[in-house]
Amino acid sequence: MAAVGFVGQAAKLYEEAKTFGTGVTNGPAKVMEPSKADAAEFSNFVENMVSQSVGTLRQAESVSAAGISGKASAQQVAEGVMAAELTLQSAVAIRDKLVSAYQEIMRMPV
Amino acid sequence: MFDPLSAAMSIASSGLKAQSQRLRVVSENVANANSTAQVPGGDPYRRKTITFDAELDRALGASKVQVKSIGVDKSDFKLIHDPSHPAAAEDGYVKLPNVSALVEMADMREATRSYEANLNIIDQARKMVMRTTDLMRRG
Repeated sequence: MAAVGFVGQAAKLYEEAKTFGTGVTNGPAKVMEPSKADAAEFSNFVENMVSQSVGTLRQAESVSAAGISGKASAQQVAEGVMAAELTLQSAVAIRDKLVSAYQEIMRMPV
Repeated sequence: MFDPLSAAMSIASSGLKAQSQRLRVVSENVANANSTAQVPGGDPYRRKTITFDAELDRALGASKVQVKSIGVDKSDFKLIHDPSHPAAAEDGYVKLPNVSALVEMADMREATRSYEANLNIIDQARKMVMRTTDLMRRG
């Protein structure tokens, strides 16, 4: 899964950028520095989110197929497709937010 | 643990399922409103009834609705005098199903309204989730 790898890498780079910054500034920056465990937790969270949304999408797909062949009711199809839609929407929104945060850091004048 | 809005959608979906079962029973009754017995003097189609039951969904931690049972209406059959009918008994009376078109239509309306109410809940929950995720897009 490319998306998971990408976000995981972004999280790592983000962490590296943070530790790099602490070398220059003293004091308050130390408080904000995330530990390695935090970063791992964060990328785990992202990974879980992505794999969960992929699972929901797969489910919607199989329910739609079953609905077309008459094995699932219209309600089941609508429920599955809507769950997938909402999951995808929030996953995309969160990804956009993460990417824009990353870009914000990239644009930071050194 | 479960997202309440997804739970609301899932519960409303169980309502949709229950109401469509109800409409199915109504359609059976309407379609068989004139179904008489196969043998002379026998019993005709008996009106079916449907009852619902709250069902606790443990994964969701909320009560869904389910069809408890599809039973039969034990009220008396209608009798008409028609000696030429194949299902007529010795005395010339034919038993007709205990289906009343008026009752079935009322039941159908109620099923439709309940279905719409559940659809509205799904629509509303969907809008609430959408509006919330939209917060992340702006700004």
